[in-house]
Amino acid sequence: MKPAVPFLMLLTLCEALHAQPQWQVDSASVAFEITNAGLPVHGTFAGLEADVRFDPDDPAHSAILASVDASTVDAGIGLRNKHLRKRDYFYVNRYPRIRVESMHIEQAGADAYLGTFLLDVKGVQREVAVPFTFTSHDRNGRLSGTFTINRLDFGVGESSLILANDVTLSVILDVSRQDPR
Amino acid sequence: MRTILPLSALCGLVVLAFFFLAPRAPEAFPPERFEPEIPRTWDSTALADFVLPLPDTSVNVQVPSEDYYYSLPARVIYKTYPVYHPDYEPEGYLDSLRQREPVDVFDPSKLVTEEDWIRAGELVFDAPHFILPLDSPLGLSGRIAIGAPMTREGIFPGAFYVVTEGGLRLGAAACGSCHTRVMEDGSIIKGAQGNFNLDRLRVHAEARTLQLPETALRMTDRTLYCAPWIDHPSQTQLDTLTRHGFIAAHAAIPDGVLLRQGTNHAYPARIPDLRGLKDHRYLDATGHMRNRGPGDLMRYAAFNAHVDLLIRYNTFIPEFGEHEGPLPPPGTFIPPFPPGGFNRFTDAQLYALARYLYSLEPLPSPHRYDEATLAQGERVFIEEGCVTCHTPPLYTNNELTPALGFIPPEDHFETYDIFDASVDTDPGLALYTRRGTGYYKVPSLRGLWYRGALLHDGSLTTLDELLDPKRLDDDFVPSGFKGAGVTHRAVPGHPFGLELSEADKAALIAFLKTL
Repeated sequence: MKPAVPFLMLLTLCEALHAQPQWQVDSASVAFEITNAGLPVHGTFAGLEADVRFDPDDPAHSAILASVDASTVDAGIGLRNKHLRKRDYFYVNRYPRIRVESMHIEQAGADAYLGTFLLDVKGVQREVAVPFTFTSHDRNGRLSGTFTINRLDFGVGESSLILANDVTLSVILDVSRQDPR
Repeated sequence: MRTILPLSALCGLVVLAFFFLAPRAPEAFPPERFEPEIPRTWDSTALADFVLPLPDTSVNVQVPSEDYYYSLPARVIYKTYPVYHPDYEPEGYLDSLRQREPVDVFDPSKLVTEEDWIRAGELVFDAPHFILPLDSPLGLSGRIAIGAPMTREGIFPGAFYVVTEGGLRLGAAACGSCHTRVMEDGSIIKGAQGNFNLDRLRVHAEARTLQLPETALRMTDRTLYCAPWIDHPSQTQLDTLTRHGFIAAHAAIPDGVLLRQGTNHAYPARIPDLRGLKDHRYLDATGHMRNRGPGDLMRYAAFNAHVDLLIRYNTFIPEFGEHEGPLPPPGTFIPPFPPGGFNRFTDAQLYALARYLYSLEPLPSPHRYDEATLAQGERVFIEEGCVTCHTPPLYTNNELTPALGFIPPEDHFETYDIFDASVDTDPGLALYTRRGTGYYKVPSLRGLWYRGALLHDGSLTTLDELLDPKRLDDDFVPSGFKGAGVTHRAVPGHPFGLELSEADKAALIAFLKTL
C-alpha cells in the first residue's frame, strides 16, 4: 500500500511536532543593516507573527514559522520608508508579509543551532542558513540569530553604485512557554 | 687686420645656423574630416516615444507631420554683434555695423573637424530666435531699464545686433539668452542657469512701450500657456486675463525662472543648468522629453524653437486655439507669436547645437573648505538620504519621481526610469501644464554653487532656505518665486535635512557648494 507510506511519515512528523514545546513570542526585534555610500543604514520591521515549536534538546523535530509586516519597514527617513514600500523594493501592496519557515534545524554547539529556513521575500523563496542561539531560564527563553542575504536574489531594489547587495538581518525573539509543563 | 665680429652679429649667425640646420618639422597633415551621421530631427519613429505622455492619457496628442515640419522655412544663422551698455560701446559702433553686409555663419561644408562642429553649435546656441526692430524695448533700452546683468566688457549676453538683408536689427531670445549666467565678477558661464529675467523685460516692454490691447496680451499668453483640457484655476484664469493680471504674473517671476511656453502663470519653471547635459536621461524639470542622444536633443531644440506651439491636443492647437482642420500650410498665415512666424533650424544646425551642448562639462567649484568640514558634509549627505536620489558621480540617479497625487501607470515602470516615491513638492508644474508628465526629474547637483533658483519652480534661492524647516509653514516668505500677489506661502516637500544641527547644516552646504 504505497500511498499510505508518506501519509504515515507525515503523521509521525505531526506527532513529533505536536510534542514539541510551543513558545509564545512576548517581544521581537527584527532589524537589518545595509551599507549605503559607505555608511551603515539601520532599519527594522515590525508586526511579527510566529509559531515557534522548539525543543532545545530535539532541534531536528522543531519547527519555526514567522512573518513580519513588510509595510512596517523603517530605515529612519520617512521618504526612504515610503520608497522601500514601493515596487522597487518590497512592493508591500502585492507582498504584504515577509515569511520565514524552518526546513531543518540542527544542534551546532551549546545553545547554538543552525537552521535551514525557507525565506519568502516579495514572492521569491530561497533557502537561507541561519545560525542562532536559544537560551532559556525557567519558562522564558530568547532566540537570537543573524544572517546575511543578497537583496538582489529577492528582487529588492536593483544593482546600485552606492547601495550594497548584502543585507544583514538580526532577529531576537523573547519567548515564553505556552504549553503546560 | 683682424676682424672681430660684434656680439649681436654672432648671435644672429647662431640663430641662422639653428634655423637651417635644425631638423625640419614634418609636413603638417590636413586634419581628418569629421563626417557626422546627422540624425533626422523630425523622425516619426523617434518622435513616437520621445515625448512623455501627459498625466491625462485621454488627450490625443499629435505633433506636426514630417512633411509639415520640413516645409517650414529654414533659419539663417546670421553673424551677430554684441549689444553694449552705452558706457562701454565703441565709438561709431552702430554706424560701423550699418555698413556691413549680412553673413550666414553656418556653412556645414566648411566644418572639417569635430571641434568645428562644436564651435558652429555655439553659434546656433547664440543665434537669436527673434529678429526685431533696432529700437525694440526688448533690446538695449529695456535691458538698461531692468538692470539686466552685463559682462565686465559691458555686454548684455543674449541680446545681439544682427545685420540682415533688411538692415541692422535687434536679435533676441537665443538659447543662450536664458542659459548664460553672468557672474558677480562680470565673467559668464555658458550653459549655466541664466540670470537674465525675460519676464521682467516683457513687463517693462509692455508697461512702458508696447501697450498692446488686452485681447492681444490674452491671446499671446493663451498661446504660450493654455491647456484647456486641464480643469484647474491656473488654466481657467487665462481665459479672463487682464492687463493687470498679465503684468502681475510676469513681474512675479524671479531671476533663474521663466514663464516658458507650456508652463503657466502659477507654475513657471526653473531654468535648467545645461552643463553635464549629455549624462541626463530626461529634459525639463518634468522630464517632458527624453535625452537618448544628440537626435533627441535636436528634437528638443526643434520643439522649443516654437514648433511645440503647433502640437494638437485633441482639437486645441496652442497657436490657433480650437482648430478642427489640418494645420494651415507654412507661409499662409501670420501668427501673433512667434514674431517673424514659424521656421525651423536645419538638421545640421541642430546637430551642431547638440554637439555643443554635449560638450559643456560641469565646471569645478571655486569654493574651498577644510577636509574635515567636507568629510562631515559628505557624511550628512549620505545619512540624510540625499545620496539615494542625488547619487554620485552625476549627483542625480537620472530618475523621475511622481508628483504629489500622481500614480504612475503600470507600463511606465517598464518604459521610464521611475523612482516610485514622491518628494511631495508642489505638483502644479507636473500636473497642470502642457509640459506636465506627472513627474519631476531628479536634478543633478553639479554646479549648484552658482545657481540662484532651486526646486522646480525656483521658489527658493539658497541652500540655507532649503534646509530651513520654517519653509513648511504657511507664513514663510520664500526668497524666490511666490506667485502673483502672494506675499507668503509654505514651500512644501523635499523634507530632507530639516532637523540638522547648525554644524551639520553648515558642513552639508559646504559640501554641496563644491559639487
